[in-house]
Order: sequence, then structure tokens, then C-alpha cells
Amino acid sequence: MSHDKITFNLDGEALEVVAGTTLLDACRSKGAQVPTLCHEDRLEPFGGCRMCLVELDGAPRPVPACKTNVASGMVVRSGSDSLERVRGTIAEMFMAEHRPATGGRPNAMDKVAKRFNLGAPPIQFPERAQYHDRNRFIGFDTDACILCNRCVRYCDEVMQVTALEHSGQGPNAIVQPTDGLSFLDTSCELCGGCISSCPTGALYEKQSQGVEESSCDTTRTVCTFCGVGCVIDLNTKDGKVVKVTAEQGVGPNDGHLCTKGRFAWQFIHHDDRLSEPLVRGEDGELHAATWEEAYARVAEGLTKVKQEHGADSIGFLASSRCTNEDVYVLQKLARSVIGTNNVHSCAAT
Amino acid sequence: MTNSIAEIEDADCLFVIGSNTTEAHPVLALRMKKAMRRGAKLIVADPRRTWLAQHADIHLQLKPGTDIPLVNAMAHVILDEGLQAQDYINNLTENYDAFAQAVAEWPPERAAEVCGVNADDIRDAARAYATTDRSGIYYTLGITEHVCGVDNVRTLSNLALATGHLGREAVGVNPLRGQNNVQGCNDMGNNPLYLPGYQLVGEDENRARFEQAWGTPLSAVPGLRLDQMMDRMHTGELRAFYVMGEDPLVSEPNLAHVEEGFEKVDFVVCQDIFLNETSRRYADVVLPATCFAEKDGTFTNSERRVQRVRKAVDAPGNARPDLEIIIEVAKRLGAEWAPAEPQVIWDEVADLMPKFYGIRYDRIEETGLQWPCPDRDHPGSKFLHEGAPIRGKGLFYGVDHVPPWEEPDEEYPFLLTTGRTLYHYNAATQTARSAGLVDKQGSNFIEIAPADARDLGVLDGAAVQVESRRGKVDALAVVTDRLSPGVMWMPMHFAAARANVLTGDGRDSEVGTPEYKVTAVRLATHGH
Amino acid sequence: MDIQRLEGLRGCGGAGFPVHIKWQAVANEATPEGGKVIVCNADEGEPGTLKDGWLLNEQPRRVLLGMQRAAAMVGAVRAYVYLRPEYTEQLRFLQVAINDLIEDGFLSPGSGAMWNGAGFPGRSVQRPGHPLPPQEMPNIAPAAATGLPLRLDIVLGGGAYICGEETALLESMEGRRPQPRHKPPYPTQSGLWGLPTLMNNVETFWWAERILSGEIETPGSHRLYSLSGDVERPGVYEAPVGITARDLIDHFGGGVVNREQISCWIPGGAASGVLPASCLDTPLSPEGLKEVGTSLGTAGVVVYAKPTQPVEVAAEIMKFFADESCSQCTPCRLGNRAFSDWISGVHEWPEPEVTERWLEAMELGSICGLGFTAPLVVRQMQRWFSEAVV
Ligand code: SF4
Ligand code: FES
Repeated sequence: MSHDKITFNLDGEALEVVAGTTLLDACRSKGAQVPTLCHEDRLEPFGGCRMCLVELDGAPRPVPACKTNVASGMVVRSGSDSLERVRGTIAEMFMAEHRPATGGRPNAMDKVAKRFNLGAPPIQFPERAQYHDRNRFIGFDTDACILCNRCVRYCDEVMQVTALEHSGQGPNAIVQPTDGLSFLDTSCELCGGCISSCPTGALYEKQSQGVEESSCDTTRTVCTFCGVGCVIDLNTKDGKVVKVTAEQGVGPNDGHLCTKGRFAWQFIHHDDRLSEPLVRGEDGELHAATWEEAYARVAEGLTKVKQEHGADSIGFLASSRCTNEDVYVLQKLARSVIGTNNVHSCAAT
Repeated sequence: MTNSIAEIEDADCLFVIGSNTTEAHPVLALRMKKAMRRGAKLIVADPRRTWLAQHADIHLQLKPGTDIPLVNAMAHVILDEGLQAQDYINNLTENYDAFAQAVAEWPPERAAEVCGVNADDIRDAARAYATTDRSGIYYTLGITEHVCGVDNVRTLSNLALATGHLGREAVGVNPLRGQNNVQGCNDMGNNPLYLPGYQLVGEDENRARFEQAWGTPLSAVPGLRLDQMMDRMHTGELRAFYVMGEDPLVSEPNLAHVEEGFEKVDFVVCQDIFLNETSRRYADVVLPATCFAEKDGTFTNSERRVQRVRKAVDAPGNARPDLEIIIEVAKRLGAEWAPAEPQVIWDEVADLMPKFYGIRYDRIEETGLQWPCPDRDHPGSKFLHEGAPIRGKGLFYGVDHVPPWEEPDEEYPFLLTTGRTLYHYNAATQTARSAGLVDKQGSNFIEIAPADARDLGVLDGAAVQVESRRGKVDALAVVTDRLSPGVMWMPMHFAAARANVLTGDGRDSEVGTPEYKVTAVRLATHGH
Repeated sequence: MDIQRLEGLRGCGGAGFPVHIKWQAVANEATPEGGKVIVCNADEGEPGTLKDGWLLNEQPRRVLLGMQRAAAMVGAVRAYVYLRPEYTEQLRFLQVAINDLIEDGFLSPGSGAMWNGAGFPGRSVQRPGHPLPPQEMPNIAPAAATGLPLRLDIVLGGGAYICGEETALLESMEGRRPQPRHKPPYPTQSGLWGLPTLMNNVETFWWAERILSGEIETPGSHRLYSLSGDVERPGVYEAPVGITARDLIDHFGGGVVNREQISCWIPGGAASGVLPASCLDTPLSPEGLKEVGTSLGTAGVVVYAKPTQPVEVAAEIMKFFADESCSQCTPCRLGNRAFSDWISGVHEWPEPEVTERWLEAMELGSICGLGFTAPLVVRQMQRWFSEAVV
């Protein structure tokens, strides 16, 4: 890729950018407020929603900033009255079919409506058929969908499994899992990336349907399901984890997650979690005990074995799922307190 | 990993061997997919036609356990056609001759026979890897979980050294870590031979540093590896076992042997978030710990990045953080340690480990840092071996084929290999508690090639019993052309049908990693 | 240069782009590894237009020869006829003509293969490469008589109106949902599989053949008019550009059925909108029709006798556009749908200010001609039949 600089004129000012920059990125770098809906930084430019139109001298009509690369010498206006009028009208068109979703995710249309001061649309199209699906992760509120195709493109470009499609045309056009099947019966890998890329909240996490995302607290931490170390935000409400999200541009994952990272958090609050120490009694069964009892029993057991058979008759197995601090103190316990180097972990890779 | 995850998308050639990346490391695989979309060449060596294999330019569908002949043959082609990086070899490596001799034995035709792949494909793969400037190697357990795991890795590093494909952005040798903190667990010295920070326990000056910091004398006697511990349980030499967050009864191979060992142990402590097989049956004390969402600390990911883990919710009932539990145990045993503050502990770690010295909590609030990071202004290391291999000269090894510990025979005619699926994680203690995942993939299955299924009269979806010399498990048959005849594949996740009932005692002779990847089995149908 | 002999001929698919400029543009492109491509757009879908189907029935050989000449002049090695799938009869004639041309040495052996283009419902995006990326095509042997390689195949269209839009057609050929591409780049620079592509309408190739073979001296003086609707003798007629609709109807069409009075008419296919009977003496030429706010389009003249109401005709057209929108861009997808509802009375018309803004947004904001010319139908109604579209 060439890193040649090219110059063009944006809103009356000369601007220098690297060849290959889109008009949208150039506008953003200058702080110009170009609205977007179908654009997503992780996806290839699409140019379908037409919210980002800008005026380009010599072009027969405005061009989508997201889909147009800067060329040397271009003269571009990013915010004339007529542009704002056209953008506002297109936003109004969206409102004629969009109905806010019930999933609890944020909705970009709120911001759009505010910016263009939209009232009731001049026409309201009928509701779409609802999509019922037995999968437990991904919910889809068809009436909120604006056909920006972000989910479809995510599935195609990023996951490359093509489990979603933009199907039909005209008034019958819809977004749906391939052939209208259940998410469980397509090539879908349940990563939920479509949810993360959906601007309207039409796609949402079923496990937390209705919980307003904006009302949740978030804690940034790291996923534990593999060695990639995706940075995640645990969304909590009333002291419970209710969903997992990931912010674009952050961590090794750049906002992407897999199905485990995004959805398999229920174990955290599962009934099977151990909540009391257990000590094996005379009867051979495990019984609840206090921490003091449990600690005493551990100390006693380890001391006895050490006294009778020596420190090297005790082994420690560390978990590669615990934190560095946890496993550091475990080996320190083995080495400095018990006096053995018998400490290892399960998988050597 | 020698490289960073983000660099993968800039690679122009990806050689993925023994890694079903899209299932085991799905998010990392997205970077590979991005590179592919950009036009990067993809070479996949895997006994299964995985997603990546399906989309690869070259798929080398080798027989399990024949990685060394394959990679040696690739090296053979590289030397034969003069594609090696002679300057790099001359200046920055040693022991080249042993390597050259070893690979001379493996012309592609010979390897093709052993591996069951096409010789020309080996040639093409070698050429693509050697002649593309930004070439990277990626591997996982498919390489290491063999009797010759270490040798497998060596052949790959030979390949990188011979082509000078090391020490640049998107160019290197990258093991992808299976569990979230395998890297950190090793870094922290949970190893019988190494003190934290890979400092050999046998060397006096290393011990001295820790003895001073910890205020106690330390044993110079190397400890036991996990597999050795299992053996010593048998012989009665290991009498107490402290298990943190693991379930050896499910995860260790040759289960019957492990069970017998546990029967003989005097005292077992298990510290975990769920009751598991081991604790249910053998623990004397079970200590309820907290999960990642309930504690502060750090994890180190595959790319050596130390990242912050933060507490979001309270632990259930009386469960306590592992850190606190261990410190309390130490106290009961007479040691007075710093309070259970993760940050205090981490500072102790960083002070003792030169490569981590510069990594401190205040620097990793926003973004983690990649070690080595020797001082507080160091930006961290995106990739390793820049300019030259870290040890000064890259060491070539002459490696020859080591056949698997067990090979199919008349009685057990099929070769079973195991792996991960996308929808579960290890023993599935966490994922099996997600109803949505169980919907998608709920029970054990075994993949069978269509030809084998036909010969055995097994239909897709039939209940079968898989038997090895050591045990049997139930599974549903999935007939698929992802596999070549003679090879079967089973996931490792399902507790009710533990694949490790079947696996054998084969282990890498140097590090003891079990050979999960090759087992001889036979199949019985359950009637219909 | 031979290409200059085409000066005066304009594309007959609706947009009326000067043919020689397009041919020259492709001739000027460097030849990439996969070669250049000729595509004949035979996806005749504009309501009121029948001439391409008629030509393929009557004179398929001349159309193909036009393509062959184009290939020779711009240096293309592959050619495709993208055929409207309903044209099954034409397909048979085409196949016969292709075989004849192979035999006569104008086309390379092996020509005449056939595959299907994508249509709706289809995946919006897919890995490209349908059915064979050009690099993998076998080497094309030279045709015996010309000495030039030219492989000419047939692609059966995806069966949607938008497939006739040149870039949607290319998408369909490549196996994707037929959604128009953003231009630039133009197909002449980067068309099928990214190769320089010369695409013309069936009629255009037919005229080009007649001009280049010397049969016709003044390019662009005549058109094939498709005459339909309430006339005695509907059909395809060759007539001078500039003839009036009245002459066309009376002399060629035998007058209006039952000598009824004309209620309204369409000059150049549905997209050219509805005109009142008072405009029947306008010359059917680009300039003449511009006067009355429209264009010659595909030269498909449709006549409506009383009591058909103009607003019924317009409503039908808008419904057609709304249904046929590929649904990629918002103004076309939702704008057409709204106007279809308004004009047909399903919903009440909004304030004129709103109507105007919505028309403007469609004109300025759509990706392709479907979206930005559809407002013309409404504007023509406002101009000529204002009482019907308040
Ligand atoms: S579901 Fe969301 S992402 Fe997909 S097209 Fe609709 S609005 Fe866009
Ligand atoms: S954001 Fe540019 S067209 Fe949608």
C-alpha cells in the first residue's frame, strides 16, 4: 500500500491525507459531523444507507463519504443546508419503517432523530413478521431493522460463515438467518458479532432481553475461555452479570467475541457454584464447614504428610485459569512453605 | 507467541499446523480470516478438513502423528531448491549440519508415503512458506500433545530458522495457548524446574534471589512434573495433593491409572468454583474459590500481554478468592505474608522477574503490556527475536520421525485423535452450564469417514461405543468427509463420556505432555 | 479508426450514452491477464419494451456479429449474452446462431455454454467467483475465419428488473445478489470480475453491426420503437428518430383500438413517465422529449385509451418500482414504496413540502438509475395531471 499524501479541499480548507483514505475518515479527522448508519469501522464500506452523503464538485449528485476515497484535487462540502435536508429526509424515511426494539440495546436511531429533529414520519409502513427462533442467544426484533446490512456483512466479511442474508427486494426485503432457518440450523456459530454490529438494537442478547444496557454498570476485564485474552465488559445489574459486551478498538479482540465469551457467562451465577468449604467426614461424605475448620484441616493434613514422608511427598497442581497472582502464591506456598518444587500445571502449551 | 495477535492480519502466508484455530481460538482466527480476505496464502496441515483447511490454498491432510516427516520434507524442499536464507543461517544460527542431515533423509516422496499426502503439495507448501516475505507459523495442541511434542516444535523452529522467518512483524513461530492463563501460569513458575520468570531452580544464584525475597531456604531438588506426580501416587511416594481449579480425573490420560493413584493418596485438597470428579471422589477438603468475575488480578494471554482482571460481582456465599485462600493456608502453616492484595502480590512478582519489571498495575489500566518489558518506560515487546534470536544464535535440531506411542493394529484398527470444539471449553464445567451452547452441541460424538462408516455399517447419528485398550466411551456417530479413512476424531469436552478413558500412557519424553492426539481404537455399535 | 464510424449512435438500453465513446474507452484500457469482456444486455425488463426480444427472435446472428465486431475492435476474448430468463424461445435461436457462427469461423469452438446468474432472493455478499474466475478459463482457441479468439457464452438472467442495470447485471453474473455497484469505477474500467467490460444493449449491437458492415450510413437516425397498449397493431417498428407519437400510432400501429380517444401515453418505457394526449405531436427524439420533461429511454411507446386514468398508470409504475427496488439504498427502497402508497391512495398524501423533500432525496441520494429517475414519474404527474396527485 502506498503512503503517498494527497491534498484535497474539504469545506473550503486544504487537507492532506494518505492515499486510500475515505472521505468519511477525512471528514472525521477534521471533526466534520457526517452522520452514518450502515458504516462500521470493522467492515468494508457499503454505501447503502445514504446518511453520509457529501457534495463533490463535478459529481452529478452527492456521494457517500464512507464509500468514496479521497482523490487528489477533490473539492468536497460536508455540511450544506441541502445536504442536511437530504440526510434528514432519509432519516425520516427510516422512521417510516423503524420501530424501537425491545431487546434493551442502545439504538442509534435515537441520536439520528434528535439530530434531525424528527417528528412523526409522514407515512408509517406496516409491521414486519416477527422472527421466532429457538436459539437462546440471539434475539431479532425485525421491526427495528433498517436493513443497513451490518450484521450480514459482519457474518460475511469477519466471520466468513454467511449465516445471515439480506433476502428479497422492495417492501419484502428483510434480513434473516439463511433461508429463514433458526440460527441453530444455519452455518451460524452463535458468535453474536451481528449483535455487536447492529446499530438499532434489532439484534440483541436474548439472555438479557429487556435489560436496558444503559442502566447497567460495566467492569472491564478479560475473558477466560481461551488464550487470546479478549478484553470484555461485564455488564452488571443488581450485583449480577447480565451480559457481556466488548468495545471496538480495545484489546486483542477489537470488539469481537466468540460464542463462549459473549454468551457462556451463566456459570458465574449457577446454582452449582460452591459457596461453603466442604470437609470429608468420618462417613466418607463431604460436609459443609466453616473456613476455620477447613483451614485447620488443610494445615493438619499437609503438616502430617510432610512430617511423615517429607516435603517432596506433596504435590501441587496450579490452574492455568486462575490469575497470575493466584498461581504465583501457589508455587510460593509449595516452595517456600512446604519446601518442594513439586508444582506443575495441566497443559504445558 | 513470538508475534502479536493483531499482526496476524498483515501476514501474507499463514502456515497453520495442528490447530483448528476457528474453533479453539475463534477470535484470533478472525485475524487469519482477514488476512485471507486480503489475499494471504493459507497452508493448513491437519488430519481433519477444518474450516481453515476447507478455505486453504493447500491442505496437507496428514495422518495424525506424522508432523515431523511432513515438516522435514518441507525443509528438504527448501534446501533442495535453494530457498533457504543463507545469510541468516550463516550468521545467526548454529548446528545447521545436523538439521541438514536429518532433513536430507526426508525427500517429499518418502514423507508423502508416511503422511498420506501428495508430494507436490508438500513442495508447493514449502515454496509458498519460504518465498513469501511475511510468513508465519501457527500451531497448538495438535503439535504438542504427542510423544514427540517437543521435537515437533523443533522441526517448526528449524523451518523458521532456515528461512529466516523470525523476528519481524507477522513473521515468527506462534504457539496459540489453549487456556486463558497458560502463559501466565508458566511465567509464574508453576513448573518443577523453574522459579518464576523462567529462572532455573537448580542454579544457586536464582534460588538466592528468591530465598532473600521470601526469607526462607529453598529446595534445589527439581520437582515432579504432573505425569510424574501421577506415577508417584501409584508407587506411594506422593502422599498429598493440592489441586487448584483442575480436574485431573477428567483431564489426565489413562484414567484408570489415575484413579488407582488417587486411591492411594493420604490427603487431597481441591480448590475450585464447582465440585468436580476429583473433588467429589477424593478430596478431603474442598475450598470454594471465586471465578474471574469476582476477583482482581492479571492474566497473560498468548501474545505475552499482561492484562487486568477486575472484580464485577460478589462471590456466592462464602467463596473466597484463590489468593486469599492460599495466603490463609500459608499462615496456618506458619508463614506471615503480605495481605491478599493482588497489586501487592504483582509488585512482588515484577520485582523478582526482570522481564516483567516494567509492568505495573498503573501502566495496564487501559491496555495490557507485552513482556519482555524490563523497565517502567519500556513499551512492551510486540514480537520477539528482532534482529537475532534471543539466545544469540538460533539452534537447529536434527529431528527424526518418532512413531506414535500406539498405532492401529488388527484389534484396534482405527486411529483416534481428539480436540476442542467451538462450543465448549475443556471439561465443559462452565460451558455445559450454558443451555444455549448445549442446544447447539449437547453430547459426545465421534467423527467417522464415510468409507469407514460404510465398512462398519454405522449410520450418521447412530449410537456407538468407542473402545481402546484402556476403556470405552459412548458417542453418537457423525459421518463426515472431514476425515480420511482410518482416522476418527472426538471432542475432549464431555464429562459423561471422557475421551481420556481411552487415551494411553504415551508422553513426551522431555516435558511429559500426554499424547492425546493418537490412540488406537475400535468401534462397536449399540444395536439400532 | 472504425470506432469513429459509430459516432451518432446512442445506446438503446435507456440511458442513451454515445456508443463510440464507450467502445473507445474499453479499447483504450490495457488488457489485463484475464482479457477484456463484452456483455450484451438482453435482460429486457423495462415495461413497454419488446424490441430486444423481437431482435433475438428475428436476427440473432446480426446481434452476435455486432458483439464479435466489438470484441475485435476493443480486443476482448470473452463475450456473454445476459438473457432475460423468460426469453426461452430467443434462447433457442441464440444457440442456433452461436453454433452457426462457430461453424462459420467467427466464434471460438466451445462457445455457447450456459449458466445462471443470481437473482433475488440471494445472498447480499458472497465470495466472488461464479462460475469460474477468468484466470481458470481454458485457453480460448482462435476462431477459424477471423483468427481471433472469442468465446461467447450465455448467462440466464436472475429474473429481476434491476438485473438490467449494468452493474447489477455484473453482480448477478458473478453469482451475487443483483445490487448495483457504486460508480466509479465504471464497467469500462472494472466490470465483470474486475476486467474492462464493454456492455451494450441488444439493439445497440444490432445497429453497430449494420453500421460497421456498411449497410447504414447515418448512425442514430432510426430506432426500433416498441409500440404497445391500446393500438390496433402493437409491435416493433423501425422508424426515424423524431417521428411523432401520433404518426407512429397511426401509420405503424393502425390507430387506437376501437378508435377510442387517447387518455395518456408513455414515450420511452415506464421510467419515462406518463404524458397527456396533448403531447402526441412531440417528436420522439431526445431533444423533443426533453421539452416535455422526459426522455426517449428505450423507445417503448405505450398507449392508453380512455377511460384509463393517467393516475392508474402512474400508480402501477410506482408499484412496479417499489417492488423491484433492490433494497440496497434507502431512498429507492422506501421512497418508491411511499410514493406507490401515496399515488395509489393507500396512504394520504403528505404536505407538498414533504413530497418535494422525498423526491429530492430520491433524486440525489439513490445509488442507481432506478432510484433517481423514478421521481420523474411523479414529477410528470405533477406537471401534466396535477389534480390527481395533490
Ligand atoms: S438487523 Fe441491524 S444490522 Fe442487520 S440490517 Fe437490520 S438494522 Fe442493520
Ligand atoms: S454510512 Fe455511508 S452510506 Fe451508510
